Amino acid sequence: MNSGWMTEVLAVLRKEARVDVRDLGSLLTVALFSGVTIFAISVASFNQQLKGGIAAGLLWVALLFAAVIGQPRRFLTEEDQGTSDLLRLLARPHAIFWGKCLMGILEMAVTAVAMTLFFFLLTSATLKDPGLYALGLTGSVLALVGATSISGALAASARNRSTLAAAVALPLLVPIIFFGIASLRTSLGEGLPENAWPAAWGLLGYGIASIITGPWIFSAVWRR
Amino acid sequence: MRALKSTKWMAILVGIFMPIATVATFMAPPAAKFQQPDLARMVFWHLPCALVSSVFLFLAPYFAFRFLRTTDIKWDIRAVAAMELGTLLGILTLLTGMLFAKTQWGAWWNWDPRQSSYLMVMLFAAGYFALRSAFSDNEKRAANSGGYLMAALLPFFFLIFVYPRLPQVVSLHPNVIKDGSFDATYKGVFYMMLVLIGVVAAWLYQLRVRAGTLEWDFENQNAELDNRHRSATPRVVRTISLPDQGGTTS
Repeated sequence: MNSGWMTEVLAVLRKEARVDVRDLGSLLTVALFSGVTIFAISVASFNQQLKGGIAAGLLWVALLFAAVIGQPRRFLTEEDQGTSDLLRLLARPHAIFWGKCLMGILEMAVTAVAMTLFFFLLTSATLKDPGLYALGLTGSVLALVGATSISGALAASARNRSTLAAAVALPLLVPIIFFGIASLRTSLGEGLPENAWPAAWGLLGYGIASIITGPWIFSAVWRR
Repeated sequence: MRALKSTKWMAILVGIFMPIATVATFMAPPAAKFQQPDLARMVFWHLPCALVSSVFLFLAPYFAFRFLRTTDIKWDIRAVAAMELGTLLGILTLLTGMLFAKTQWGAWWNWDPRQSSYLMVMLFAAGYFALRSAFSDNEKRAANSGGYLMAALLPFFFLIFVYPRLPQVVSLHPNVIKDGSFDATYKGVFYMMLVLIGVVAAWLYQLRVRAGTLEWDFENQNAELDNRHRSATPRVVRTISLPDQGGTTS
């Protein structure tokens, strides 16, 4: 293998983008799921003033399930379609992991921004601290993609992989839920900023840590 | 033979000291700072179980790390044993904690940060065992579950050490060692229970590792015998014709 790791990462990213464009079903599933969730929240909170804590919790549930549905499938489909062996020959494990993660980050970022717009358009929630919200959302996207990618990679060669990937991901997401809700809640007007900013930075740190250490875990299981 | 002897001795020692320690937990004078001092003795079981469980839950990712580095199956056997012991003691922690909560705080479950975080740690353990059960190949099972433990290390640390101690988190749990809830006798009995539960857990862990190693050796021997048997009678595949279907198959 003569290619550099960056070339491999970009090749995997391009491949993932092509797969997503060719098979719009999976992207549409995430979009539909996110849209319907926000719509359901807006219907449930019609004519009511959403408090920051509740609004952050509801928005985070929508983000969480969008990630759990969308991200692990990048690894699961390789086994389902029988393309994993070819991928093993063509790229190094860390390149595969980072390539898939990059595509996941792009997809989740678009989903999160779209959800945010939809959420503020359809509900009575008001944004009090855009900077904190942006940091919290960025951290959430990174941490969600990192954790769900690891769980997808771990469950990819298991028997009941689709169900297992979600079941394995949820415990890994517990600390992210704490940090995520803490940061978004304050940005929506409830709670103290001195507690929320460390939570948002913590979330970002968790996301970066899981994306950096992910390839090591992935390479330990991918070659077997 | 030596292993059997040591097991027998451990059983005798535990058989002698466990009843003595149990009696001591009832003989210690009630700790005055608790709401129901007489019913607070559950803490003699609850706290050591929590501490020893945490030790095993952190040993498991270490063993998993060693397995992923060396691919020596003995580390996987140790990781499983540590997770099993950690989970067992974690469940005991939750159950004794619920009894304590009912007597001291009035409800079985109070959504106390320490209660909730320990419950979540148990969810991790459930995820670990679910993942293990989904692989039939030993090596894959060991590698993937080891990877899961490595991924769970940071959340473990957060849930056990960070989250319950965050300044904005209010816990019902007293800090019994630091705030003087325990007098000298209470502390003495508590440390005795801690040592005893620690020794019993270490003994059970050793037995589990031994059982796991024997199971592994047995499986490997069977596989070897199976392979030898197969090589003695090689399979021959011949093409045959099925007249009623008119086709050819093998």
